[in-house]
Order: sequence, then structure tokens, then C-alpha cells
Amino acid sequence: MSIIEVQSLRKDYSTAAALRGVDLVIEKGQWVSIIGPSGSGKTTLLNIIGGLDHPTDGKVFVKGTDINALSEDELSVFRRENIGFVFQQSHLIPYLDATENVMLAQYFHSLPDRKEAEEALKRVGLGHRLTHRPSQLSGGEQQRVCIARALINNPSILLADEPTGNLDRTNTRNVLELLRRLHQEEHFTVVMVTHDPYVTEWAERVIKMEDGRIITDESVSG
Amino acid sequence: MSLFQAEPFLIGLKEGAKLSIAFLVVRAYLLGLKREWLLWFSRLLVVVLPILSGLCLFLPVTPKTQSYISLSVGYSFGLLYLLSLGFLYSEARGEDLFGVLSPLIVNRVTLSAFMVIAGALFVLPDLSGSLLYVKTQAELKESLGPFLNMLGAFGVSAFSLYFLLKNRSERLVSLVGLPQCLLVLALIKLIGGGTRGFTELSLIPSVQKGLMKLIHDIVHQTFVTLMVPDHPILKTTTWNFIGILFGERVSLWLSLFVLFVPLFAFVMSYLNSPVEVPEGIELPAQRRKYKRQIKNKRLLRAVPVFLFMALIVINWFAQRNEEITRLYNPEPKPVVAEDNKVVIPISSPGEDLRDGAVHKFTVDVKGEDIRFFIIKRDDGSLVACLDACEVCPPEGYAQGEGYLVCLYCRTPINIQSLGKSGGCNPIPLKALITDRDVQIALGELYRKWEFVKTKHSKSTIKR
Ligand SMILES: Nc1ncnc2c1ncn2[C@@H]1O[C@H](COP(=O)(O)OP(=O)(O)O)[C@@H](O)[C@H]1O
Ligand SMILES: [Mg+2]
Repeated sequence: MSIIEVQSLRKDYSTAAALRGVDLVIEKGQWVSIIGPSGSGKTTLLNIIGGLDHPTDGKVFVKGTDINALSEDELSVFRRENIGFVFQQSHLIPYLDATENVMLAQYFHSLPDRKEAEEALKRVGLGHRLTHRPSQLSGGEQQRVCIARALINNPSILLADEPTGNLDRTNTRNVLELLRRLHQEEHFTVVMVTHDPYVTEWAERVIKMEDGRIITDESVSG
Repeated sequence: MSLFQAEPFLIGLKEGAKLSIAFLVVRAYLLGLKREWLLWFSRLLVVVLPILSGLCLFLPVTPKTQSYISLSVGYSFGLLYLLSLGFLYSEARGEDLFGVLSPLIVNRVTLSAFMVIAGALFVLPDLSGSLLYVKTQAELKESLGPFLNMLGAFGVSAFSLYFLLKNRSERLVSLVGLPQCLLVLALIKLIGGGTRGFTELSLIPSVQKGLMKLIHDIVHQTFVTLMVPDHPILKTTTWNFIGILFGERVSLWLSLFVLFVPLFAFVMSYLNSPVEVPEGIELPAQRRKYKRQIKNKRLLRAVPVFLFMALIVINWFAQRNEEITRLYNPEPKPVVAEDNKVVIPISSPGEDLRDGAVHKFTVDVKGEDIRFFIIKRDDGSLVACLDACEVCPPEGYAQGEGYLVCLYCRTPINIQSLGKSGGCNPIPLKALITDRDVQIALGELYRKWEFVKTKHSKSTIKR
């Protein structure tokens, strides 16, 4: 069953086109990596799938919903109930501790629940960092907080844009192993953008982009 | 004589507005329930009940019927208020008021019966009170004019408000549950439930008086039973304390407090009580979302309750000043004693003790100005009392409609009950009442006034 369907997607900027006709179907529960050189349109594609950006042309269906037909309010409700985001920069609130950062996501979704937030941090291996501020955490730990935050509202899709871009090999490996475990437990769909071939080793399917187009699309048996 | 008469016209407007606003709120509640037949039933009631209250016109207009109707307006307000508290309480506890019995009790027959009762409580006392009042006017003027004015205004305000607010009221659906619905009915009654035309448009003064009396009596009784009689330390301080307690302002707030505390407590526990998430919802985020929805719904439903409280506060204070200026408090007339007694003629030029007003006198005994009054009770008999009670500093009494008010503690005293002693009742005087005059011994006046001044014994003085 497909959970994301992208049809002849175009995104034009005044200077150039970022996406020049992308068609893509992603199955529910799949872990997909999108790899390509800088400027190939990966981030643009991911943002449009996540409803953060609008296409110039083409359609995006997420869980059967044409997300560009939604109003801004409907879209933000749809996003917070179905999609979790992780970015290269952690975007954590500096004056809230780890638990509170996770609780904030709960708050915007429905109600904050400290116990649940602490459980989520324990599952990403941060049981000993519950009350640390982002500045007191390493880059890898910050990215784990982001993962806990992205998954706290049980999204069916996790969109990640270079989540390990700022991490060294060891930390990259740890974060990806963690994500793999959570993915196996919770069966959400992962779409991860990267320029680093090492990261694609965790994916079930690797899509290569260049110059706003998909050039290869292959399944890998883990 | 002009065709237009302001008072019955206003009464009609008021009753029409009450009926249509109440119906719109009930309708919003029933729309939310999505039970078509209840809606139809309420439409039936809103037509039948006003017609039924017309039956009261066959009653004779006597002060007695009128005071019964006034009472029933007050009691029906109280009942609606208590009912709504009950339902609010059960909603706050997250359980049905009737618990396990509810499937047995809540069926078509009982629901309709409940609607009939609540509707009757709301419509009948007020409307028949107003109708009877207008009937007295019609009898005075010997014309149907007042009725026509009232009916015309009733129709105009009922229908115009209904059609004006109909669509807006549909937005109320998420705001009103059963307790909110009953509370609004009680509020409408409280604010607009007076049945004596211009002199009493609202029920608030009488509810205020009733509550103050209740509190006063409770506190007074507590003190009387708790106190060691004649304890030298307690003696003065306690009276001062009671004095502060029943200063005008404190008693006002106290009675508001009594009305609000249960309401407030229920709303808070309603808002804060934990949400039971149904079995099927398993993901934590889904459970949170469910809780959020329930909490939002509760918050919305708390709005009319807080609105209710705000409206009462506003009206409470608006009514208060009006009430005080309405009191009758004549200057005491000096009389002179002869043969160790005062003799006051029942009927003298310019004064008749039997006219229903309070007649105050003052007499000089051993350098003391002793104040007392004589008044006719409802049964026609005269009664003489000191212008002071056992409890408060002797500031005396003023007269309202059908009651005296202690000027110090504002406790209302029913005129018919004058002659009883104790508490805040004016201290009764032994008097010889003949066909021509009222005679009171100076010794009686002096002995009881001395008690008031010194309060040297806390046990009730013997008559
Ligand atoms: N806001 C923008 N305005 C103009 N051009 C943009 C904007 N965002 C992205 N682009 C251009 O679109 C292309 C794709 O960018 P992006 O999707 O960020 O690539 P990637 O994430 O693969 O590095 C790039 O050429 C970039 O310069
Ligand atoms: Mg990028």
C-alpha cells in the first residue's frame, strides 16, 4: 500500500528549476534514502512532501490526501498528526531542557505528558540527560532528542533531511542504528535525504537525484 | 385613557423574552443531543405551558395567592439551580447521576416527564405571577387594556427574539449540556423572575434576603450554642464579631459566596477530573488527542457557568442599592408616659396604626430615649416591639415589602412572625391592646431596653 505518491512534480524558482518532473511512490513502512549532490533538489522534494513548501506544478498525495488542496490550518493539523521531521540543524529550543523540548511537541499536538516524554527520551538512550539543555548535549545527543521529538506524536511518516550531516562516523552510526530499531518497532515510513553514501546503507530503497530529476531508483536487500 | 400602558407592556416584553431565550437555549441543547422527538416535544411544551399558566387567572387575587406565587418563583429558581448543580456534579465525576439505574430510568417516558417538570418549573410560576399582577391592574382599571398590552408585548418579544436569535443560538450547541441548560434557566429566573411589576422586576432582592437570613441564622445559632453563656471575655468581643460578620458588605459577600462556592467547586472539578480514554485507543498520541478533545469540550461548557456567575455578580450589586433606597424608615414620634405607661391611640388624626406601615415611637424613661414600634401583622392583629433585637447594636428596623429589615445586619424579618423573640427578631413587648389604644408599661420598656444596651445576659429574656 502506498503512503506517499508524487506525480509530475515541478518546482520553479526565478533563477532556475529545483524539481523538473518527479514521480515517486513510497510504500507504507519503507525506509527510503534520497541521495544526490548538493543542489539536486532533495530538500525541495522533501519539504513539498511534508507540506512545508508548495510545488509549482504536480500533485502530492500523503495517505491518500491531496495535501496541496488543504488550507493552511488543515495542513498544519495534518502535518502534526501524520509527519515527524528531523533536520540537519537540531532546532531545539535552547532554554528548555530535553524533556521540555519533547513536551512542546506534545503540547502543539494535544496535551503535554511528562512521563511519556521521559519514556521517549529513555528509548533513544537519553535516560541520563532528561533535564539537560541542548547546549549541554553533544551533537549526537541533540539529534536523538530531535528523533524523540519527531516520533512523540506517533507519526506514520518520518521525514529526515541530512539528519547526520553534522555528526562524525561513530555518532552517525549510533543515530542510524537507533532509528533502525525504532523503525522496526513502530513501523513508520522513513524518507531520508543525504549526500553521504554511507547513510544509504541503512535504507531498503535508494533513490538517486540529479538536477531536479530522479535518475535511479533501486531496492536493496538489507 | 390611553391604549398603551407601560407596565403591563414591559411585563409582557420581559416574559416573552424569558420564554424565547430559554427555549433557544433548550433547543441548542436538544440539537446537540440529536433526538428529533425531544425537539418536537419541547416545541409542544413551549406552546402548552404558557397556556396552562393562563389558568391561574381563575384564582382569586389575594395577597395570599400572590405571596404563594412569589414563593414558588423563588423555590423553582432554587430547584433549577440545585438540579443543575446535581448534573454538573455527576458530569464532573464523569458518571451518570443515576449510576447503574440510568438505563432503567432514562427512557422516553422519564425524559419527557423530566422536560415537563423542568419546563413547568421555569414557565408556570413566573408567568402566572405576572398574569395575576396584570389581572389586579385590569381589575383596578376595569378594562382589558393591561391584558392586551401584556399579551401584545409578550407575542412581539417572544417571536421577534426567537427569529432574530434562532440561527445564532445554533452555534451554542457545543456550549450547553444539561447542567448548563438548567443553569441558564435558573439565571433567567433569577434576573427576570419578579412578579410585582415595576416594584419587583427581578428575583435577586428576595434571593439575596433569603440567603442572608439563612447565613445569619446559621451563624447566629452556632454562636448561641457554642458560647458559654455569660463568659466575660466572649461577651463583648463576640457581639462585635457578629457585628462585623453582618455588616452590610460582609453579609452581601457571604451570601454570594454561598451561591457560588458549590458552583465553582463543581466547575473546577469538572475541568480537572481525569479523562477516561476508551479501550480501543492505544497509541499514546491518540490518547492524548482524545483527552484534549474532551478537555476542550469541558472548557467550552464551563463558559456559560462562569458567565452565569458574572451576570449574578453584576445584577447582585446593581439591585442592592435600589433595594436599600426602597426601604421605609420613619422618624420615631416622641410620646409621653402617664401613670407609668404609654398609651397610643389606634386611630388619631393623620395616623392609623392599622394601615400596615411601621409606626415608630420614642419615649424618655430615666433619661433614656427608648425606641419601639407598632405594626399590623398580616392577620390584622397589632404587635408592639422594641426597635432593636437581642443580637445587633440597636440601629432598628426599616420596612420593605412584607418584611422588616434590621438596619444593622440587614436580616429580613417576616412581619407575620413579629412577636417571636430571639435572634434578630425585634424584641417583643407585652402590651395591652384595646379597641381604642395600645398600652405598654414603662417598666417593660425600660427592662428590655436595658438588656439591649448592656446585653448582660445571653440567654433570651423572658417575656
Ligand atoms: N528559496 C530559493 N530560491 C531560489 N532558489 C532556490 C531556493 N531554494 C532552493 N533553490 C535552488 O533549488 C535547487 C535545489 O535546492 P535544494 O532542494 O536545497 O537542493 P539539495 O537539498 O539537494 O541540496 C538549488 O539549485 C537551489 O539553489
Ligand atoms: Mg539540502
